[in-house]
Amino acid sequence: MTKPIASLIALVVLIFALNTKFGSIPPLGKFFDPDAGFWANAETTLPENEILHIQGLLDEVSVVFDERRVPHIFAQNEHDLFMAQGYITAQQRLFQMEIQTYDAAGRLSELIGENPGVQDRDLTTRRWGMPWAAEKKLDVVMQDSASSIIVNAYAKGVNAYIESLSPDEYPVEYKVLDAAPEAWTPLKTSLLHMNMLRTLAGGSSDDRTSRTRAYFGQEYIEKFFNTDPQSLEPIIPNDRVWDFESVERPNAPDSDFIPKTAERVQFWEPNAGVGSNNWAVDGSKTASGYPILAGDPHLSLSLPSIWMEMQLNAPGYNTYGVTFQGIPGILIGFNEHIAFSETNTGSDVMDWYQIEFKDASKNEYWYDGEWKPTSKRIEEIKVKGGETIIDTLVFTHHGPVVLANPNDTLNEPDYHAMRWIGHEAGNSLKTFIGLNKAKNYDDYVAALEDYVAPAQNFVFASNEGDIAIWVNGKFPNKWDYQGQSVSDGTDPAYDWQGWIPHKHNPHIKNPTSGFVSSANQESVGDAYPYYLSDEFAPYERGKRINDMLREMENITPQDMMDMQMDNMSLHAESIVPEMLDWVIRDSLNVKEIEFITAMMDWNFEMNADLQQPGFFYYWFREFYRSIFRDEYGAAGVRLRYPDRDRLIEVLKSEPDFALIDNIETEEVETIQHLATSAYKYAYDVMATYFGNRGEDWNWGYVMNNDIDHVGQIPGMGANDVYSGGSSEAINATRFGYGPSWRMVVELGPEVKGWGVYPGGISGNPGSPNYDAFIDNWRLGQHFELNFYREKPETALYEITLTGN
Amino acid sequence: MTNDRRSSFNLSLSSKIMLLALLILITAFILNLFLPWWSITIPGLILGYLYKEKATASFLWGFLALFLLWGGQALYIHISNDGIMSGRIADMLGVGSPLIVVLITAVLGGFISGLATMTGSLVNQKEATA
Repeated sequence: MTKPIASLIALVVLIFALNTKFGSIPPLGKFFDPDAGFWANAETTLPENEILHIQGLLDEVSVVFDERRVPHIFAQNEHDLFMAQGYITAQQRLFQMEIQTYDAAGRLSELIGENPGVQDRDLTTRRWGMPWAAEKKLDVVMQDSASSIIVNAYAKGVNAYIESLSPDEYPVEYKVLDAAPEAWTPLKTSLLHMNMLRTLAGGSSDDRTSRTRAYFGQEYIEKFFNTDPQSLEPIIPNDRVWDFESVERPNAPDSDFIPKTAERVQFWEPNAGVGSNNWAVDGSKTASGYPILAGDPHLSLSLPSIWMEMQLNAPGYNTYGVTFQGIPGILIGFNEHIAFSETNTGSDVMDWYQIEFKDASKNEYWYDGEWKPTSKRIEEIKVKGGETIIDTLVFTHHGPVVLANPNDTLNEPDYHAMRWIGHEAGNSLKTFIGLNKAKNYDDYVAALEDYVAPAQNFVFASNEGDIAIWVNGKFPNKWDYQGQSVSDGTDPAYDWQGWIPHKHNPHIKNPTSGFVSSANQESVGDAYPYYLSDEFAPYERGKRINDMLREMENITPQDMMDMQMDNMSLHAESIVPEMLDWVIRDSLNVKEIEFITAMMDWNFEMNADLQQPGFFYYWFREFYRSIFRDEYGAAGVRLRYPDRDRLIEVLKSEPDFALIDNIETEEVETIQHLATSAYKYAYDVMATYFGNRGEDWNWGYVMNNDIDHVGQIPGMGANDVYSGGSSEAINATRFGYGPSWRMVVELGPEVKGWGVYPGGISGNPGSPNYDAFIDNWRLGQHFELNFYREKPETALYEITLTGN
Repeated sequence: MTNDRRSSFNLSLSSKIMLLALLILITAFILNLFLPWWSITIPGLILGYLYKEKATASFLWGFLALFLLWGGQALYIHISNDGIMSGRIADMLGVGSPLIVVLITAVLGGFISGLATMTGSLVNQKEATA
């Protein structure tokens, strides 16, 4: 071969290689090209005023960006409002919108390519019936003409933005993945709703409860899972009188079904990072005489931020708050009349049924004394650069037959069908649009009526002086503890048999205490005539909120903002004094003894600058685990763990509780032994990972608070965001979870709002605005929100959208 | 004396080749604005062919042109963006410093252009000998 030909071949091969993605390495030539690669996404100047022509707009729309770049949309009709919302959301957050819908549709492999973990996730998503249910939900949305106008306009707006892009203008993540955005459809909005359902209502302990009952007996279940801690204050206070005639409850089956152990099938556990606070105080407790509402949803934190601030203004609308990218409207916010915020409800709305198929074809299953036909659906998972995976879903009347571990072959001897509220058709869009436009309590209740899931505790306050909270969602009318463990799929007595009427959903309006609140704890006390669930958040956060609100008078918005940053741990307060008593001092070395003094001086605040919170975190975790490790380990299957609050109560009243002894040793361990060895373990962990006792022991570092990129792209998140907080504190920040938006709204003739989240408006990792609010967020510096009554004179910049 | 003469001869030779580099730089800049990244090979191929320099020299001057062009553009963006994007890409690639990201950009552009220019010159030399 001659030199020129060799050189030419080398050049062609090089161009080809640098234009191709290898594994996770982007096509390097394309990627580094200063004109069209990632450099083109680096923001070098402030955005400027623009006039954009968008086909399909009915009238002119002005989008004003304030000094923090929050978009305020001023439209002249509803259609244009949501079309502009779609356009602006895509302009700021296109990749985030898309990757979340790919995830919800079980299509990540299509975007990312061959990767076993991603394929498993896609398969599980399909088997959960996510795309199937998204289609069902969309049908209902489209039947409502007002809703269909909104989702269609929103999709048109997103598509107008996508069509305006040339490849060099694609968000940088597309360049990393060597992908292009695809057209938006109303189905994608429905898929995002499914994603919220999976995050907030997609988890179950049924399998673990079944095995725990089989292993330890019903008494253990009663003791730990069916008994509330004494300190629990339910969301709807115990003194609430239920002044309605409840509908008939279904009868529990006579004999308790013993499910097969099904060890290989592991259902998804409830999402541990999910929680939230909200509360409202009425005028009797505030300095202004008008209600104040506060809300902070806790989620897995990400960049771009889960939320984006936005104001929507059009005839019938003037709402400020946060949006979820891909869903029209404001999800948490306020207008000139009312404010609203949600926390998650732990209702048991996912149940598992053991299924008996007639044969391997799975065409028929046994139910109520006869063979009933199944239905099937083919799922095709496309894989970028690989072969398409075909999967057949089998449906019973309960729902899809799910193998939670997708690597299990369909030869698995035990099959389980999932009955999930996520599969129930409904139109949650209508609820949020209703709340966006609501003027008073009646509008709020009317908006809540159609809501299905994920069930939320909707807190409310209005200019008319009303405050309220509704535990809201579509709840199956169950017999007591129905669905606590795996159900008998052949017996109709285990089916969901009707619903709790909406007007019987737990709620309270204007209580004499002057406040309402929720923090994911149990919704109601024993007097409530229906059964909701046995699985709620521990009592600590909720009680702390109530303790504070009971004491407070002449409340100002600043008091509420400070309260959102409260780091007090009632959990620590409830057990640290006892644990310190239990530690056997003779077993400790000098350094460990010295730290005992520090622990005794601790005020139980989970503050960033303290050394005790991190130590306590590891100490309690090991103490808890050492109680169960031996027995639970010996069982050889996954069992259900008690909540820490109930366990602590049991330990205090029965310090010789049977599980404390380590069954693997000859001697009999006492609670003193466990507290001591856990103490030494914690000291060891702290010394190993954080060095000699000093500033590095500060909780702000120990909590390892990383806010990752939404697509897990390294370098595009924010690492080690130094903060105080804890899952049991009102400020629930820890380990990359926590308050994803903190909002305080003072109602009154001139409604005022304050808020902050850990991110920015822009979803562009190359923009200084991408993570601009993180420091304000971690320090609890809420911004005063620019809630405009009419289009303001001045702005950082303004985009005018015109139809022609 | 001899040394002086050789250096002045080299200088005139260099200025001719420097013009080659400059021409590649300018045309590549213009083409790259409108065409995909691989369009930066076109000036090297054509000008390398026309200039008929030795393979090594062609490679080096072709390299220099795009090293300066892509490197300069990247450095300009790096500075006016306060290193936000380059810092994130440095983290993503695990290369430590944002300036290394600028350097990679420069070397990548340089290498492609160098290879193209060398290819152009080799084709012409082949024709000349044939």
